[in-house]
Amino acid sequence: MLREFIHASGYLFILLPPGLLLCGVATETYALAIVGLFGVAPFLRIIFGDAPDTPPQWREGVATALDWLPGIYAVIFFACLGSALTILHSIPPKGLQWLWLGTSLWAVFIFASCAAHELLHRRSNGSRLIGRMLSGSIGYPVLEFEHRAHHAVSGLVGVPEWPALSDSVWSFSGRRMLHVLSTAWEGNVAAAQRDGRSYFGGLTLAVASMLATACAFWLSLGFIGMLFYLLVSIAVFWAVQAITFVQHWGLGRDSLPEAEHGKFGWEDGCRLQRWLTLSISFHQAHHCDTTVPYYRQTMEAGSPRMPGGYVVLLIASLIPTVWRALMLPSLALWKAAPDTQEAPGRRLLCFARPAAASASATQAREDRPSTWQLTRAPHEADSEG
Amino acid sequence: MSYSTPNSEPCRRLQDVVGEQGYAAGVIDVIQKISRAPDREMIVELLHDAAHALGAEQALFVSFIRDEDSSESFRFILACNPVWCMAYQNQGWYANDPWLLYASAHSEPTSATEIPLRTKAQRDAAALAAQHGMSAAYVVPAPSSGGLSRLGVLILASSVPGYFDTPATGPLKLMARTLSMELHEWWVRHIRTEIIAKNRITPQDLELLACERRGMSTKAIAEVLQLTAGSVDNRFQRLNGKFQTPNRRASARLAAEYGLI
Repeated sequence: MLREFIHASGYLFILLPPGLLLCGVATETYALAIVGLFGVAPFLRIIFGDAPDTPPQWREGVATALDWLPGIYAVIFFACLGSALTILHSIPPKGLQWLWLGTSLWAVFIFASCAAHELLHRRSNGSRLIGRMLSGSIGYPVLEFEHRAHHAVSGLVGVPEWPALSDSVWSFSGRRMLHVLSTAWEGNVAAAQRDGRSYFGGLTLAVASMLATACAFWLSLGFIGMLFYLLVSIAVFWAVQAITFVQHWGLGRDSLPEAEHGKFGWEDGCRLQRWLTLSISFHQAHHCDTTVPYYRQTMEAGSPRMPGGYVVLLIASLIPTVWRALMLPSLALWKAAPDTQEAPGRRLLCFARPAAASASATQAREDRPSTWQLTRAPHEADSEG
Repeated sequence: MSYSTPNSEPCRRLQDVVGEQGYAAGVIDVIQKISRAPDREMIVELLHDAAHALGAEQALFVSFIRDEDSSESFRFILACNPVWCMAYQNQGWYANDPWLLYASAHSEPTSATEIPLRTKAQRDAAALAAQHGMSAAYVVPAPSSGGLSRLGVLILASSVPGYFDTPATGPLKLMARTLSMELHEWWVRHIRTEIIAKNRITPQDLELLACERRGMSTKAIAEVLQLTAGSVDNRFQRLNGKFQTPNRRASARLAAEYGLI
């Protein structure tokens, strides 16, 4: 019961980013969110450690509450953003404060994309609607369609849905930003046709949400405020591609012949990161079965393990030589021994206990029948066909 | 993805095939065997034979969940060019396949020329099919009823452009629709058996889910199944874990969608 309570209440951490933003604006400490999320949170692993191999067997009331959490988060996010803009209208930032406010907003928006991602993966129309509004509001209205295309192909580096081994974060994110912009409309049309409509596939709502947020910034901070929001949106757009780079670099078909079927993604067991990202860091498991809700997700046995958390690796990726120095040995180690891999630097960067795929995790994964067995991908059918 | 090679005989005109004596009887003979097919290999053979009997060079049947957004539910039976299959899967075309999108929202069989290609990806998917001997296609949706979320679509193909754009599709439409529905029902049964086996779902689990679907309270379910209320709660908790759902209501809904209850 206690384990269930601790594990469940940890997910309330997703409310932290919008809370920090509001507190920061209210107290004119605009850097609060960026410092908290990027400067302090990665070090809290020393306190929270790694997530357990298997989540508790949730009681129905708890699981239902967790199921509602991303939706509740969206309401709180909009409330916090609205309140922050109201305060900013009275006390606008000056000079360098714009920079701190911008980076804080950027960090909060990136974490909001995790909740939007969870909502957009659900089959309920209501959840998808909230997800579209949220993704639009954070300045990334194409999330739904970009992400669908990303899931449809595994390991495809040419498109670019997966980063190639030779890519740097800059080359990949640049190519992918253009690709995402040019294909979002196609994804929208496909979504519309799936529902028997011609063109209204959800992108319109997401873009409307983005425009409404831009207007709110205009009303609060004037024309400069709207420009400021658009600048943050571009940074969010880039950051999502950079995170995709971090999640899949070195795991495409150019590096692994079995990448199409393997659906490989770098995973990390940090408990706080799991809570804050709604288990996106269990990334290969997510690609193997997108229908598993975040609170039931477990790491995939034998998946490649990141040598550090998302924040650390995102920063490392900015300098390609550092990135390659850190990731190439990790990739080689994982390829050599996927079940026992513990990447170099992991202890240093993550203060982590050894957390490679343990026997218990493997067993748990095997014992847990999941929806992927209910809905099997073509390649799975292939093996029997 | 299960497949056999396409029919290789020279193409005849559709109206000639449809007008042949015993056309319907030949197709029905194949269709009747589908419900008794024990495995996927047999189904592939039957699809191959049915396509031939219907006058098509190639055929495929796709089963999928309509509002599932990551293509994990797609299953294929292929009596068509395997090179096309590889290219199709490699590029993940099912996300933008205009024929599958048509089947998601329509129940009427139609020639592919009637389906608008609205995006570049859709035009590319159609071009890839044409490149591999599917210049003309006849799309036959198999819609679901009774709350099932899984749909099917049969695609008959020919290398002759405009092959299916003829008034002679009347008998073809009837036969192809029957074939499509039979294949769909076979898949639904097959998947049901598979889910039950892989998830170790017991008959009592199914009874529990059926009771929940009927809106019965925990107490009433416990009485019917001669269990304690605590035991009913525990069983649902376990089932929710298997179905990846938050509560029994969602589990029962999902079980109904998959045709388990």
